[in-house]
Amino acid sequence: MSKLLRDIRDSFFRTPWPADERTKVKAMIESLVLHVHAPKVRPASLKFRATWAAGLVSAVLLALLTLTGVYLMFYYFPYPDVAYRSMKDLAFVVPFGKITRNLHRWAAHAMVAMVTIHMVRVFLTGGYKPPREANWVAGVGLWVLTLGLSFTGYLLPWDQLAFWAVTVGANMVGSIPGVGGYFRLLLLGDASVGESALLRFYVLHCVVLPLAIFGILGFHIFRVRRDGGLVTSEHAPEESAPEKAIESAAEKAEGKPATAAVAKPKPVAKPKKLISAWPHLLYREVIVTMVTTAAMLALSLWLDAPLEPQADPTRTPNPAKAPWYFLGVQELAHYSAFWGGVFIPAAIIAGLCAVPYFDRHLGGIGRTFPRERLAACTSFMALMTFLAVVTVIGTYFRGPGWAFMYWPH
Amino acid sequence: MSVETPQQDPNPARQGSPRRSWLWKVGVYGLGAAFVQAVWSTFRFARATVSYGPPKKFNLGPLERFAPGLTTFVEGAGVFVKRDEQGVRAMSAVCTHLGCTVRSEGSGFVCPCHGSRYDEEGHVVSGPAPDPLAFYELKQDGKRHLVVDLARPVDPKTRLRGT
Amino acid sequence: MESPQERRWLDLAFALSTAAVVGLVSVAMVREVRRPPLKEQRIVPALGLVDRCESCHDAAQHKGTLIDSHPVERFGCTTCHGGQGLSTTKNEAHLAHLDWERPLFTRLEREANCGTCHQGTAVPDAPLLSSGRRALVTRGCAGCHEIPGLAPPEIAPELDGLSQKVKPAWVRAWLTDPAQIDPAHEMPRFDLKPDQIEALIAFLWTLPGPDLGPHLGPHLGVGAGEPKGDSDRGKIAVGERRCATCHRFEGRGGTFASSLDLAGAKIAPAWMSAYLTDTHRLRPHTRMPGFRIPAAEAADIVAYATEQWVPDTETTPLAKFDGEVRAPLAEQGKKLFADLGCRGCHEVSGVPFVRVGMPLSAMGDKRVGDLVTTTVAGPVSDVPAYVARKVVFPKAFDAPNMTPSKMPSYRLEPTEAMAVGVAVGAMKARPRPAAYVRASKPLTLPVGATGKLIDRYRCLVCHRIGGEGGDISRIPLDGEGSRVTRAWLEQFLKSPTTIRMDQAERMPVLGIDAAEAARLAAWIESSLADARIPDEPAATAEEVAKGKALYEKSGCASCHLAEGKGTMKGPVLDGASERLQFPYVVAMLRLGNAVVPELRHPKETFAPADARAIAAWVCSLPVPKSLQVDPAKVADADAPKADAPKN
Repeated sequence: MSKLLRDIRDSFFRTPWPADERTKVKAMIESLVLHVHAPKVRPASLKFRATWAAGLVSAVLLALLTLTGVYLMFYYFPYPDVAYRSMKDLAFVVPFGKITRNLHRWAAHAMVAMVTIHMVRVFLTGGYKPPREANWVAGVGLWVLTLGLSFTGYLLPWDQLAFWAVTVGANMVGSIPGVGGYFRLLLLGDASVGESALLRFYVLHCVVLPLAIFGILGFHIFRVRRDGGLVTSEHAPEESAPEKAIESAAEKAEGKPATAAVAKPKPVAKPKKLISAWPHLLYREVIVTMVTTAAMLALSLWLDAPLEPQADPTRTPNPAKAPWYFLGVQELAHYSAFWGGVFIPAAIIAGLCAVPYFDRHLGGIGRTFPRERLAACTSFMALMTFLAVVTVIGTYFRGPGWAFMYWPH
Repeated sequence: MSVETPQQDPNPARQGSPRRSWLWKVGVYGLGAAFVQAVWSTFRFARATVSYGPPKKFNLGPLERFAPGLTTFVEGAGVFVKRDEQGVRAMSAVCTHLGCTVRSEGSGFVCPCHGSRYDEEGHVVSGPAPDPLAFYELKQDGKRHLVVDLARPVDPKTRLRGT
Repeated sequence: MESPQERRWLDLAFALSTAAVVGLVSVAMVREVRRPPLKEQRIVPALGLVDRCESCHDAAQHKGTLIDSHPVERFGCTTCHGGQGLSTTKNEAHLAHLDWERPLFTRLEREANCGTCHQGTAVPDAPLLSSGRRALVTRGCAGCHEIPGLAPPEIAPELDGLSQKVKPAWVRAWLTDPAQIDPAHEMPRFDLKPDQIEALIAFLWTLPGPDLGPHLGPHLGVGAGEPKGDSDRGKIAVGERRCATCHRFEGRGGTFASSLDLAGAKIAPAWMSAYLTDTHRLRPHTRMPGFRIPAAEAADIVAYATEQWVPDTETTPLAKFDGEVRAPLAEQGKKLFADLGCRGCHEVSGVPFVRVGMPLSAMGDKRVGDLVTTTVAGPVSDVPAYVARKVVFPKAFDAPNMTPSKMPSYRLEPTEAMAVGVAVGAMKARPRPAAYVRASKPLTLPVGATGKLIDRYRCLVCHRIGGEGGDISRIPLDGEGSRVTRAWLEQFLKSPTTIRMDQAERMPVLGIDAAEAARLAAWIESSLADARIPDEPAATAEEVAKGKALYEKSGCASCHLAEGKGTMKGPVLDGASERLQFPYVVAMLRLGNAVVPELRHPKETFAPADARAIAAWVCSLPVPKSLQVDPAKVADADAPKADAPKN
């Protein structure tokens, strides 16, 4: 390699290809992309059973969605009827149009599932406990944003599902006593779902919500590193003594004094157990990325994203169903638009955000469903089961007129 | 805060040694192949195969709209219709320099963008325009309307007699 | 820190997943390269459509002539054919899918679809749609259903004073099944229970009617010493008035109006007499022309009717329906009258007009899957077929868990039922752009005296003008002013003659007097001229001679009678110039059916010079002596009408 080429390479990559422990750590710290990882990680956090890889898969799906989403924007016109024609063009005349849309749709479904699974894993392993409370709240925010991106995204094809699901959704917002009509107008920009609503949803879906999700995701990943990596059993107190003050490695590193209110983390890292992130973590990340991508490609090649007939404001399909991840809310809304469609979901989100500030003892963290946290884990799983049950009812057991029946469509 | 264990690393790659598993190589070459595929697919994706632009054929209306001896600009089609005793012709109004629409000025035409000047037959008089203005094929449809085909340039002397 | 074994697993996962991605992307690339390219697309912004049908089909090879008036540049393909124009693959373009529920139009849907742009009843090249739209009017569909553009029908008798006209037994028999009494009658069957019929009769018998008194006249033989009408004279009057053009009796006649076979038993003589002497006083909305038959002639007809038009007691046992009116049921009957939608067609005082059926305004938008079907009704392929079956047998579509349909069953021939289906299938909610709508020019009839005459003689019940009106007269009156001479028209209106022997329907003798005939003839000449018929210079003698030879050569005599030779399949041509205008004959021969498509004339056309020659000869033929009208006689014929009662 000539000197010039070497100089150019060295100007971009400050470290050579890592060969020893020093350069591995240096590479992880110097690189913009890699420095979001800690240079050294706990072997336990690399185990599949510790993470279920759910967070990483969610991030990979988000990357895939961003990529395919940008591609789709080249052929999409956010205007009623023309939007639907865009879907048909993607299906019939745009090169790779169909698979791009399929990828975007299936990855969106998968992301909702994976973010939820990630949340379950974090709860069951106690990952929200001090000092990770804020990161849990950020995670709940990411979950809500993921659902928000799905909600705004499915108006864009301008098919019957899109039109009616958003009509129903907007009316749920409208059912909030007092301010509902105002928020509904904010969302739709008009009295009913039409060209303003489509444009607003387009901007929310392609600009506002992605910026929000990337911002919060940056905070989320940054905090994972700052809070001492993924939660493992090594973060748990050695004996079951929740009141005993412990001190987090992170806080110690930053020299922050522990406040009385926060349980004092104890120095947990056992140095000999740390291994370098390069290549152990990175290699696994590449593999998970490729496996996720392959799975999405396979799904998209042989399963086409659903599309319904063009939106027709004069004809409500019966039953008018949202995508599966909103059918739980729709099922609740069927009992009461405000209480089921707005209040209960809002209460669940608020409750989830509040959990880390009330459940603070550190016993059993880092293990899935530990005996020490039986009550917390059981109640959380009960909530999740409740959501799953209403979702399954809404999906499979509601027919025309939202009547209870087996309806496998 | 941490100290790497001094034990021997089992991965030869990390020792700077070229001895790597062939599976690892398959993966690395695969990543490269996937990148190449992605680039090819992106260019293929971006090449639009469908046009919603204005059609190439443009109905100019009945012949009577154009008086003999006059040059008439038809908006939309972007052509000047020139009718004389021998017949009728359609001359492009698109400057051959960089595609602005030329204006009729005096007996000739001038481009507002970079000042190219053409004479009444579309020949370049001055300015950066490299070629004379193009002439396009004219036909008459069933209703005897003039139809210009912007995809078919013709010799400037070709005239449609017209009925 | 993984063991070498773990490391190998990781390497394997890395290699496999990467290979999978490369492999899957390769599959997508191969698919993309093999994807059929878009060859052609037709964009019609005005209709908001993009049709890619021409990727496979060639519009230049389109069969049929409709493409000439509906060029693909302006209409695209899917406007008339349906299907998914955006598709580039056959199955997705032609068939129904989850994301495109409407497949290609069926034959009936295609014709129905014409009606989304073409308004009015006369839709060219759409016979089912045209006759269906006429049927929507004549069958009174708008009495129960909201149909865009249709007012409440005025097709059935007003029922106020029904008790003056008929006996309860008659109503019982009629409501039990109208078809048994008059198989051709338009009134549908309601499948009423006996007590429902009694309730309806009780209600109808509470309705007061107009005073018949002044019209009883001295000729009915009711009072002592009054001369009774003469049934022999009555028989002649019925024949001369050509009642059989519309009414059926004694085994012949038209089915357009109700059968008179039982009129003698059905209608009270006093009512019948009053009706004939001033039709519109008793029934202002009837389709029957406003006859003002002199009282003596009316008495003759009444006498003939009461003698001849009575049921054979054995085959039509009207007697078994005898019985008293059960007056206490009247309130119940009034409710029933409203619920069943009787008011939709029959006007009565005290019951407001309300449509009891579902609106039909978006019926054409229904998909096959939206239509309720039952095992009785069987599967239906499209909306027109569904409607066609529904109007004939509505109860077949009563699903077990639904309230039974109130719709009565109509006796329609399969073709007419299909026509109704097509007309209903044409009702779609989404309006076409204004530039595409072929509005029916609303018929502007003259107001004032001429308008009153047109209304009184109900010209449009039989004749069509501008696509509106009846089709008893086959040839529309549009252009009639350019076809026939005004003098002939006047004469014909006063005393109609037979022109086409093959035509059963003939113009009734309406009793139009000389002044009225002059007024109507003037209107027809000035307002119903055909601008397409150019003036012709007068014929020359050479043309007449040449025309005679051409006439003989062209075989005209196989239908026409001229100079005593030929047949009477077509109109007699002797004295044609009395009736026909020379320019019209030229145009008709030159352009063939293009001038009057309804004319059953051979399609052959003649060169302009030949057409002139033949027309010249035909118009030179003198009126034969036997057919010459004696002016004195005509004056005689007018005389009695002058002193017809006009009260």
